[in-house]
Amino acid sequence: MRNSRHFIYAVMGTCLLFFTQCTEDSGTVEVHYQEATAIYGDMDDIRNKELIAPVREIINPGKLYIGERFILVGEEGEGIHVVDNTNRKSPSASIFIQLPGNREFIVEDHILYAESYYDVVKIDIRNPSQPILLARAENAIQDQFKDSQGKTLIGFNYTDKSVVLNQDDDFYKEIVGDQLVYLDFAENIIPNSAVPSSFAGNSSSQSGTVNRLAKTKGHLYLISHSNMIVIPDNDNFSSQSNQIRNIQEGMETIFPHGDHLFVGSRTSMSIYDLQNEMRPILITEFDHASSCDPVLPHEDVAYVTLRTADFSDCPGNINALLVIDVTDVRDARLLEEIAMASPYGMSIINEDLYVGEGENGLKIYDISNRKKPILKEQHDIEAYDVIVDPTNKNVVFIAGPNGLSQFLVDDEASVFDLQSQLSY
Amino acid sequence: MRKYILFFCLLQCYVNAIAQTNSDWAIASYKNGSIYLGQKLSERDGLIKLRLPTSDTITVNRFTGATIYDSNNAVVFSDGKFFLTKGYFWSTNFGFSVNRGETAHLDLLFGQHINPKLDLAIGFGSEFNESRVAGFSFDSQVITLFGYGRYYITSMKPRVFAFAKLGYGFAADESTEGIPREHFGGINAKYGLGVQFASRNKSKFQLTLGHYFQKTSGQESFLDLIGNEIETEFDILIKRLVVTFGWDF
Repeated sequence: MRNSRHFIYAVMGTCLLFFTQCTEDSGTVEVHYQEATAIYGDMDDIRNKELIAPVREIINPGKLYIGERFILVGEEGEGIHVVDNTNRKSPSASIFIQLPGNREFIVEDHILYAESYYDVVKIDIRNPSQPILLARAENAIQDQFKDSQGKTLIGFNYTDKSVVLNQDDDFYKEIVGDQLVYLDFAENIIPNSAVPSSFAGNSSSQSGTVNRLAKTKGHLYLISHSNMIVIPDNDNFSSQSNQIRNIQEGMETIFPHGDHLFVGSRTSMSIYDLQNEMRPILITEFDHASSCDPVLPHEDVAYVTLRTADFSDCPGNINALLVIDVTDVRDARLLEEIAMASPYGMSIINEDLYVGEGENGLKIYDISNRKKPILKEQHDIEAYDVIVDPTNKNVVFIAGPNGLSQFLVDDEASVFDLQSQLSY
Repeated sequence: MRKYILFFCLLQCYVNAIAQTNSDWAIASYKNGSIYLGQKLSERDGLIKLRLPTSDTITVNRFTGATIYDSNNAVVFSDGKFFLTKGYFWSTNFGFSVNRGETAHLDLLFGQHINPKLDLAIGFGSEFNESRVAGFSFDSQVITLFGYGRYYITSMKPRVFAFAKLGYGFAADESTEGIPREHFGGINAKYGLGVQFASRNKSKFQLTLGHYFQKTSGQESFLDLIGNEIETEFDILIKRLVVTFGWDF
């Protein structure tokens, strides 16, 4: 009996020793990420660049604006192409406006407002082929980040990286360290739009549903990830009188409507009161599922598209068009949620709501009853944004994967006759 | 530290067990609820003579409705507790890790007592493991199908056994909140020691300490603090000490 007892003690002791030695998870993790390398430059050189440059190829298109006889196409981080659209059947580039660092711009009363790194510029485009720089609000968006040599941070180069790590490595400690690897300069002033950059555009001739820049009541409003920058648009257009306020996280789009600003974030639609234009006050917030969500207010309703997809900037599984009653802006109420496939930009033309569904086509809703959109037409046109011509409601511009197409559309929105395509 | 406490608990169980002996006891359990426990004196043509603790002698008929637990199908102890050594059994077990991240295992087995020393079973289960590798946390959930064997080292009242299971864990993960992930399963195994406690009914409580393995691989994306995507491809062998408690019935 005693020998048996010792044997079992020995077995159990051996097992315990073995157990304690080999209980660490083991394996490898291959990590794919983007490494950012800071680029520094001289802001004075950037600011002194000639405004007008020769025509160049559209390589990385960004924002769009449809003028009366011209089209503006943003070249991400470089400037804006001016395209002469006098002949709709054959639009042609006329000049290039050099605005280094530009991604966002809007046009209001023949004045182009655009950001350029840390600055906001105001350009007269009454004659689009002869733009005139009216004013520059230096450092209106953010004070400059400088390196030890006094050079200014003007962006990052992104490189795709892969690294294989073992159990005991720590990606965040060893690879990322203290670097702001993914943080864009100036606290993500204009991070990559949730809409693919080449498709991001204005959704009407006035202002877009996927913009971060808006002008209303004599003030310019620019949203970053968490800040709202307000610049009074007066004779003294400068950073001296601007306001930068941290108001909420995750802001993506801004749209002025009456005395209010509609701000879309990934999780909500917020309405700000503009009684004091310099200090917008949050009056209501309508929470929704996390998604990319342009907002388009229209009289007493707001249309919000929620778009999500795997492996996208907007992960999730909700794709819908929300109709929100904003009759009482302090008490926004959901009226309807319409299932969609992949909604991007929206536009209202006459009594119709056009919704670009990307590769899932174009849907047109009858909104003669604003609170109850009814699907009217569906076209097999790959559409990421829809913009109406300001001078002719029967001409519709559609941003697709290969460029900007102009269509002549009948009153019933049933026939789309392609006029031309500006390829990029 | 917890694992040492567990170890000493198991040792204590064993030491208690070693001090006890069983002899040729038998139980006759009738459907009307009557239970007779006694030392088996003889058996002929299904008629079993039992000497009860009161020194009275009774005869029970194996073929007239009584369930008999004796050395043919059980290990019976003097206080009426017993283990079965023949027949089929079900077992359900719940396990958790004592040394690594979050772990929750639940399984159900159907088996047979092959002989007084050996049980064999097949089973299925659901297992969740959180593992941290290279600074990333991977949650994996698998549905397991496995074969199981248990060898009794002792036959005392709390009897010590060694066990092992081997099977395959099928990935059962789903994407959450649209964060893309694709998990694959792999081999699933566990071996270790346990102790089962005798009882006066067919249900037996048991505790085990096992060394657990689950192979898993796949792709998973993470979002950093400002929403940038980090894609990972992982290939991990999950290893941990798992304490299980369960019942045979």
